[in-house]
Formats: sequence, structure tokens, C-alpha cells
Amino acid sequence: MTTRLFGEPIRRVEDERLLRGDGQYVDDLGSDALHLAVVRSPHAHARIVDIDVDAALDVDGLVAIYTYDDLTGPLAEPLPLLIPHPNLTQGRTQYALAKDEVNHVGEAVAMVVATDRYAAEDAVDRIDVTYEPLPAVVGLDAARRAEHLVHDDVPGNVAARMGQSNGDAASAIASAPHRLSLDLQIERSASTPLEGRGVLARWDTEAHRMRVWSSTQTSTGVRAAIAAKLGLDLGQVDVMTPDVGGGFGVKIVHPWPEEVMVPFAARALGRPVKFTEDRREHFVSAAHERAQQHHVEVGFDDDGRILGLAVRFWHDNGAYTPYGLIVPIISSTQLLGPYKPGAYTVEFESLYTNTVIVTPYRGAGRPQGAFVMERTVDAIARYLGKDRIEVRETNFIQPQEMPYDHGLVFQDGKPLIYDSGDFPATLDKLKKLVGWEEFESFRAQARAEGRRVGIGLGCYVEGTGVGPYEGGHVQIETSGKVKVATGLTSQGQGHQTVFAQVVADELGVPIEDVEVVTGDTRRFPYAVGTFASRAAVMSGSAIALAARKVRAKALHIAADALEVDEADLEIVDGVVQVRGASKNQIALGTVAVLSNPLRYAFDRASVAATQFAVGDPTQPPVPEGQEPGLEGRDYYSPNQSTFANGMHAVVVETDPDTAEISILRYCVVHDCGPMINPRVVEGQIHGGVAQGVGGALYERMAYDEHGQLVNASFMDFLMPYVTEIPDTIEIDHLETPTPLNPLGIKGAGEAGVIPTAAALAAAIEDAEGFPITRMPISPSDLFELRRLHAQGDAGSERSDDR
Amino acid sequence: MKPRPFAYARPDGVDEAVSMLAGHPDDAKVLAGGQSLIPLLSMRLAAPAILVDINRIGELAYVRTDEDGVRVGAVARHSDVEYDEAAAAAQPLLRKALRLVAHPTIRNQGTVVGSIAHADPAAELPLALTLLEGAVTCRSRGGERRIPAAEFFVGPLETALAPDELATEVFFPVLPAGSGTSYREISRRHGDYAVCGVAAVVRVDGQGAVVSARAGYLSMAPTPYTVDLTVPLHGGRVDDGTALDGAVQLATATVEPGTDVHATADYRRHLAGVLTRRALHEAYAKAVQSSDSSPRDCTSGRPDVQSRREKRGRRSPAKTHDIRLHVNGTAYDVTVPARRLLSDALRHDLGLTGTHVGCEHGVCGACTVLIDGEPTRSCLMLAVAAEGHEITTVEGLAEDDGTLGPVQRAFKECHGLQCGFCTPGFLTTVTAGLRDNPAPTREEARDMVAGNLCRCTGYQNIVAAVLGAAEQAPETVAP
Repeated sequence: MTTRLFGEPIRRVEDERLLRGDGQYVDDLGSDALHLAVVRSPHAHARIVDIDVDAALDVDGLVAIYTYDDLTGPLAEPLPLLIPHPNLTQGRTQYALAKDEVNHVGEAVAMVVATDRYAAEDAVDRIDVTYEPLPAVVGLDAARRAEHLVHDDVPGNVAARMGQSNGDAASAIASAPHRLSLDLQIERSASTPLEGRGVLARWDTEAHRMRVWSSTQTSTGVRAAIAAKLGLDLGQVDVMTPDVGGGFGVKIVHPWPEEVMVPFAARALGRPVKFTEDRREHFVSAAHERAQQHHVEVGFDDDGRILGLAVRFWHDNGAYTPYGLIVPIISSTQLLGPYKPGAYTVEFESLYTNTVIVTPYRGAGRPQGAFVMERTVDAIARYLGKDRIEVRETNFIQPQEMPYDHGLVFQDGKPLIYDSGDFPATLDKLKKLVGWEEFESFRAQARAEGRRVGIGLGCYVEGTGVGPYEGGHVQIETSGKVKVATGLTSQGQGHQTVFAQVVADELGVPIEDVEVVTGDTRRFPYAVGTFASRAAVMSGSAIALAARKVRAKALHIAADALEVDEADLEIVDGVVQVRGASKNQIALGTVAVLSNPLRYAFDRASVAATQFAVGDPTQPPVPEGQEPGLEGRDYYSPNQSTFANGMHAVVVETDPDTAEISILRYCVVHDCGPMINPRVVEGQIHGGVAQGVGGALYERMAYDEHGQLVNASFMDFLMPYVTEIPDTIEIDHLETPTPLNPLGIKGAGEAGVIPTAAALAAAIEDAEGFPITRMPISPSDLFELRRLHAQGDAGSERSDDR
Repeated sequence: MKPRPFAYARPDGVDEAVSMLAGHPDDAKVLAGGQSLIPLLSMRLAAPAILVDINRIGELAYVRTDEDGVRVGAVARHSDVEYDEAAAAAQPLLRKALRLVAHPTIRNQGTVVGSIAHADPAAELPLALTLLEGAVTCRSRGGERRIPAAEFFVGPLETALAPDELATEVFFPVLPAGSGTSYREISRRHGDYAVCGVAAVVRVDGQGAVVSARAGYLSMAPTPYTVDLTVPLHGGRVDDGTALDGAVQLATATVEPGTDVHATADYRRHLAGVLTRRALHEAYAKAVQSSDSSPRDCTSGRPDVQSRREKRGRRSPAKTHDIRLHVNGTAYDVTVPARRLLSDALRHDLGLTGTHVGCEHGVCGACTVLIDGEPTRSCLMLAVAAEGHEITTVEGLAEDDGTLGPVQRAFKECHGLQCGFCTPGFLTTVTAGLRDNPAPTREEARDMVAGNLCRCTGYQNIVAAVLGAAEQAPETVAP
């Protein structure tokens, strides 16, 4: 029997080409293309009075300049609001090129096409835009004050208000023995993949077809958007996603202005056109996330059991809302983590500011939710003088309570029902991994050396594998090679490897014979995209189902050919054979030949397949209900998300003199169900934790009051180097399968980043002895907090005992 | 992020260079290492009409140490000075300062004189020069003059250099016997400009009593800022608490830090105090040590500074240039505009798209290639300036038989890559790193990759790959 590959930490098939420098990222393609560059607003909020392009016209290499006035039809309308929601009553999106107002620094105002990027930037330099500056609304405080409005017609800057409840939280809190209130904040950060956005388009003037390569997380979405904006039939547009240099959420947004303008220009000019976003542009024209302010009221009993929880929060959605309310809805629901408050109510406002748009960044609202909940649980423990682990255990949903219905509606519009998970077991593993019981003796020893250390925990539950669906196509060629396609895209997750593992197992073929293509609408035109830790769950399941169809067909044909019962057959190393009688066999490639009756013989294999060579002469060559070819297509469309979970513990040391914060240990226990490839899963956790550490201790988007992003470079946006990441991330796994999909798996892509800020805040708080209520935190912030607490006039927590 | 057009000239002598500067008094820029200048050009924050590339001026490629001090020519790289044992022995503060400058890859190209002429108040070397009371030698057609450090720095990014003057040498004097130094800084990330940095020089007599003490501060004023702390410390020992408190008080009372995105002014002032204390302690300990030890041995510097820089190839001012680039053992003839970045030339003119561009300001390291074997940011080098050098890109790392090289293999074995975009820069950097240090410790392996950003892997498996590659590398035979 072929060794089962599911669960094996095999090496990735992607790596060979990437290590040789043979990867193909968008900017590696289209060496014959013209280059597009963008005139971007230097103002956070302004009216466009005039655009004077005269001085740019004599730039060497200039080919075209476009402003809003050049746009017609659907392209002249605002870009789509991708995810409408009934509560998003004031949704606004930008135009591909600003019409008469700009709402953030970096918004696209005009576009230049030239022979190369140098010439294009020369022309951009010389386009003179006259602006009438308007007051800028920057930050949540200003948005809430609403002294000025981002959009004239949106009162109070409020894009949406939304609330959900399960039970009567207000009464539960009011009658609880103890009450606490907390104010908690998270600042802006961003996905910041090392490859920025990029798009290349070729218009075939003879065939009237558009081919587009985009560094996107959704090729099918981009395809549909381009067809709609350019007035093309869907069938005229192909979108391919080549290698993508990281996404982390930002590339799920589509279409970007450049994503429609590049094909527009390619068609208008009859020449290939390319846009390669540079780093400075990425900071001010791609998307950010994370900024939220939260107010928590919680009521609990003497054991720390939460009787009622009420959360109000304010979400900074930036200048426009193309991605709807996804992020705050996720915060408002996933905040609950592994806990079951007696009653829960949540309300949020999504607010406009004159800053870059906010759309999901790895974790997508969950890091904020986990921060709020974990800080609350820690506050309860501190208030009662109880062990933080004990208070968590008191509030955990128990394994026997699964499936657990929170009585809320999740981001996909479905009920928030946890399908699986064993939270007490996860925490128990973490306790042992980090040595929770031994920490106090370590602290005492450190203290004796004049050192200050602390330990913190962060728990979360993550809805993964969100719908609506993904599909897979599996085809066995006459060579025996297996070609697999799925529509969603890859940004480094190792899909080509893990999907091949699934298919190799299902079909019984060597993995070397399996080739997986993702994100190419020519190969698979129905798909949603890669986000929300969904690729393995959705496409993995769909591909498994498709492979099972192919297997069934192969066995059926082989049984006919070998004149045996299907039930007696097995497939080993690409050969169908009778169990226990390995001489009676037929290669899958030959089965593929037999599956496709031919009139014409064009090679040795096809000779065997001509209609004169095979089949029952009394039956049509393709019997009723059958299709030619050894291939299968299937879809996976679950009724709800599957919920993964994990818990992190971190030990920090804070320097008593310099307030520097260093991570001594970082431990993760993670449960995403059975792992297809543990090496890939651990890689995802490593990367997530590193992004979490970045978000907690280093990265922030520093806007000044005029809406200028003052740290828009890698010099000042402090993405961590290896020196800022813990030397070792200790990982343990739990594999609680889900009943919801054929593989029993749950998503793992975002996990690492979700509880990191919560755990680090807890550890710093534990080291310092005062509450940490706002993240990220820098040494300078910690120094200022120490001064505040030394003066005794700090505190964003209030307690109220009955 | 591409530079505006400019002309490029590459003189091979100082006289020719200064006449070029004289010919363009208002709109010429001198290109040495380019590690600060090229990002300014790419961001279009600087737009000279002509760049005068002095890198092929052999007479400026030196590090010379004698009993007076260390003289560094304008073409000597940070790394040339950093690894120069004689320079380090004669003036220990210099190596301490250099190790704090960015990352090794930047130090491979950046020059000491260039950093001083750039006069960034957050940079380590201008402060070192000021604290040591060194000097800058400059030349113009009118002749040569020597400007003491105290007069050289006149404002942020502003110096006493006249537009037609070329800084040809900086001089770091030795300190009298019984002196000790220290350079301490706190930066947000390893290799960043410091939030606060303090350098100190303490001199003691034979009994360990302080004769003089001075401290200097980074990022605390428009120019390198120094304070004489002799008065509170004189005659005592630095480990005497009261005297040290007085010195710290004096220092912190006079610094005037500002607030920015990384730190508040108060925090910086606080750090100035903490670091003053630490730096004075260390400098004092070194001073006591040095007053006990025998005189220094001032032998000559690293012999290959000259040879590394003596590639010739003069170029007259022009906007486009026909050049021959040697990449992975193949010669490519291309015509490039002067402003074309090496990264773009490799990718778009030569079709070697394995070298990736992640930031175009030298921070991420995705574009790192080897120039004559040394890791270098290809986004911080002009293609025309790369002429005559041997360039190695990721495409050149495979074995002769086409199989993956040892570093590539290790990255595959250890899952040291995810999206693969940053990977080429890691592979080139590690290849050079393991050549120089074939058996790194875990700490050294981390240091080796500390100047490259990865957003996917969390670095765990990259470090594992470095260690893995070290294990599988064939035994290197010492020459």
C-alpha cells in the first residue's frame, strides 16, 4: 500500500523554482509591457480644483495620461462595495480615479502610462493638481467627535451601527456580585507583504480577449470585476494569479483602481500594460486594519464566572468601505473565544476617517476581539486575586457542550455555532508546555537578580473555512499524470504541496505525478478566494471529493477491463490492481485511455482508445450518464464555518531602566484538527506569531493630525527582523477533528497572529504590576506608563463591588 | 520610487573629481557608498544634475593607522575599517561605532567618509568623530583644507563642506594612554537608527582617578552633541555613585531631544541618563585597563582594502552608458541610463528576475546580490557603478551540474521559505555568510540574516536552514 501522505511533513513542491529564482511574480512577467504610475493625493481631504497635465506631455517615453474625465460607463462609477450589509447604511467606495474629492493621502487622482517606470514617474512628477484642502478627520477620537465629516452626506461619520445580543446582559451585569469596566484600544497596522500589489494586462486585439495577471487573493473576483467595469463578457476575460509574494489579507480587496485601469489602458492602447506598486505607495494606497476602541462592562461571581458581558466598540474603517463590515462583525463575535458568558451584548459603530481603507489583515478583527476578552478575563482574575488559568477554566465551553451555539450571527450570515474543540485539554497542554506552575519560582529568582519578568496567556477560537464554496477539478492524463486545479489562489501557504498530498492519498498515485494549479480562471473559473484560513478546508475538501469521483470512475472502468468486481480493486502507485493478485492490474494512465473513446489515433496510447479497439459493441461508445475522460469536478460548500482554536503563553522581561521589552519564551498550543502537513502548519504558526509580535511591540501606522502617514517606509514602520522575534517558538498540537468536512480539518493560516497582542499585554502587565490596556506598546510607551502609574493618576479600569 | 534623470561621471583621480564638482557648483552630488544617497534619489527627495562617482579613485581607498590615529580615505567601506585590526587597536571607539551602523550588508558598501559628509544627527560616525575631536580633510581646485569635527557639522544633513569640495579623508585621533571608550545605544530594531545613543571617553591617571570625561549624544540635537563631564567626575572613580549621579544630571540637563513616532522626548532624555551611566562605567573600566597595559601595536591595516577598490574604469559625464555587467560568470552588454538601479537592470535588462525588489530603500534585503562576493543591496547601487564587478544573483547559486546549492537545499529541507519573495536575498546573504563563517553558532546564524526582512516564516526555519546549510557544506579548506 502506498504510504499515506496526509499528516506527513513532506517538503514543498513549490520550493525548487522559488529557490532557483525561477518563481514568477507579476513584475517578473510582461517584459514588453508599458508601465503605469499613479498621481496620488498629498492631502488627506481635499477638493480637486484642477488637474494640469501640460508639463508632463513632453516627458520622454510618455504614452498616455488618464484622469476621471477619461472614464466612461461603469468605469466612471464608484468601485464596487464588495460585501453589502443591511446595517451598512452609509457605505461609500472610491472611484478608480478620484472624481472631485480625495479622502486620504495616497488616493489615486490620475494615472500615467509610459515606456518604463522611470519615465512614468517623471510624468507623474510634472502633473500639477490644484487642491482645495478640507479639514481632515484622523483617528477614532476625531471621527467620534464628528466636528468635521469625511463624507458630507454621512452624519457623524458613522458608516454603520450594529448590535447583537444573547440574553439580557445589562440585567446580568447589574445583578452580578462584582462588576468591572475597561477601556481597551488597538492601533492601526497592516498586512505589509514584501511584494506589493501588481497587475499586468494584455488585450488581444484580434481575439478580443483580455488576459490579466494579478497579485491577488481572488482571481475569480478580479475577473468578474474587470468584466463588469470594462463592459466585457466574463468569457472574454482570463485572470491568472502567478506566484504571489505574500498577501495576509490586503490582496483580497478587489478591484483596486489599478486593477481596472491597467486592463483599461491595455485595451485602449492595444499594448500590454503593467503596474508594480512600490513600497511607499503600498503604505498609503493599499489597506490597513486593526484600529478599534472598546468599552467593556462585565459582571461576574466570586469564582470569576462571567454572568454578563457588554461590549461597545468603535471601528476605524478609513475613507471607504469596500469590504463592508466584515472586520468589526468578526471582532464582535469572535471576541467570545473559548468562553460562554451568561449573557452577551455587543454594539459597534464603524466610522469614517480620512485615512487609508480598512479591510481584513491576517486575523481580521480577531486580534482585537481576543485582546478585549483576554484582558477582561485577566482583569477579573486580578480583581478576585485568582489564578488566571483558573478563571479561564471556569468560563470555558466544555467539550461535551459541542456543538455550542452562541446565539449570534457570524460574518458569513450563519449562526455562530462551534463545531468542535477541547479547550480544557488545550489549556492543560499549554500549562505544561510553558511551565505555568514553576513560573513563580522563576520570577522570584529573576527578582533576586534585579530583573523584572512576567507571564501572559492568550486564548482564541477562530472560525475558519468560511463559505460559500470552493471547487476542485482532478484529471488523470493518459500518461498517468494527475492534473489538479482549484480556483482559489496561493500566497506562500504551500497549496501545491498539501493539495497534492490529499490527491495522492485519494487516488493512490505517487505525489510526484500530481500537479496542482491554483488561481487560474482558465483552469477553474468558479471560486471565492484565499482568506479567512479557508483554503485547506474549502479547496482541500473539494479536491478530495473530486478525486473520489475520479477514483470511482477509474475503478468502474478498470473493473470492466479486468473483468473483476470493483470492490476487489485497489489503486497502488498509480496502478489499479486486484487486491492480493497484483498481476491482474491496469495502470491509471491506461484507464484514462479507455475512458475516452477516440476516432483518431495520434499516438501509441490513443491507438488503444479508438472506437474500433475498445468497448461493448452493443453500447454507445460513451454510455448514457457517462462522460469521456478520467476526470472529476466537485465542490465543497459547508453550511457553516469550522472553528479552530489555540492558546499562547509568553514570558517577557522588561528592563527596569530602559523599559525595553524582550520575549524570553513563546509557547503555542494549537488545534486545527488533523494536519495535512504539520511542517506547513507550523510554518504558518511561526509566521503568524512573528506578525503578532510585530503588531504588539513594533508596528503602528503613525498618522499626524493632518492625515499624513509619517512612518510610511520600512525605516520607520518597524517590521521585525529575526532579532526582534523569539529565538524559539515552542509548539504543541491537539488534533480535534471537525465533523463538517470530509477531511476533518480546520483552518490554520491566521491562528498565530490572533492572541499575540493579548498574551504580550498580559505578560507585560504581569511584569509591571499595572494594567496594559492599549497595544501596540513600545519601550517609550511603557516608560510613559511607568511614570503615570508612579504618579498614581492612571487607570482605565473601574470596579464596582456589590 | 525611481530617481529623476541625472548625468553620471566616474573620475579616477581626485583632481578630476574636484574639477567636476567645480563645474557643477550647485547641482552635483558625490556618490561613494550610496547607502543614504540612493534612497534619497529614488524617493526623489534629491535631484542632482550630475553624480560624481568617486568609487574608482584608487588613491582614496585606504585605512591607515599610525601613532597619531586612524586615517580613512573616502572610498574605504565601513566594513574595511570595521575589520581593520590596527584601526581597532589604535582607536577602539571606531569599531564600536561601526558595529552599530545598520547591518553588515549596508556596511559592505557604505563609506565612513560618506556617512560623515552626510551628517545625519542620528548616525554613529559623526558623533564618534566629534567626540574624538577628529577632523575632515577636503579638497577643491583651490587646494586642501582640514576642518575640525567641531566645525564640520553645522546642522542636520549640513556640513561646512563647500559645494566644490570633496571630503577625501577623515582622521580619528588616538587617545592618550589611560583612556577608555564606550558606545551604547538603544534602537527599536537591531540595526535601526538609535532612539538614543551615547558615546563616552574617560581618561584616568595611574591611580584610577578620572582626569577627564566626555560624552556624546545621538539624535539629541541637530548636530552631534557632546558634553564635558570632567568637572563632576574629576579626581574620583566612576563607580563612585555621587560623582556619577552628578555627571548624569549634567548630561541630561543639557540634552534637548525631540518627540517622534518612536519615542517621546522625555523617554529619550531618560535613556540619555541611563546610557550615560552605562557608557561612563564601561569607558572608565576600559580606561583603568588601558592604563595598566603596554603600548599598542600599530601595524598596518587590512591589506585588501586597496585591491578591492582598485578596479579602474573612468566614465565621462553622460545620461546613458554602454556597460558590460558580469553576472554569474556571464558578461552582458547593456545600455543603461545613469539613473538605472542595478536591481532594475538585473531584472528588466538582463531578465534575471530572481532578484526581487521589496522596498527600494535598502531596508528589506530582498534585492541582495553579491558584489565581488560581498552582500550588497542591488536597489542601492546604480547599474553603471556595478560595471567591472563580479555580480552573483540567486540564479548563480546552483551547483555546476544544475542541482540546488547547499544553502538552497537547506532552505528546502527546513521549510525556510513560504511565499519565496524575500528568499533570494536570504540565499545570497547566507551564501556569503557561510563562506566567511562556515560553522556559525545559533547566535551567529541569527546575526547572519539579521538584515533581511521576511513576512511569512517568522524566521524560525530560516535560522534552522542556515545551521542546516552549515552542516551540509563541504569542509572548507583554509588557503
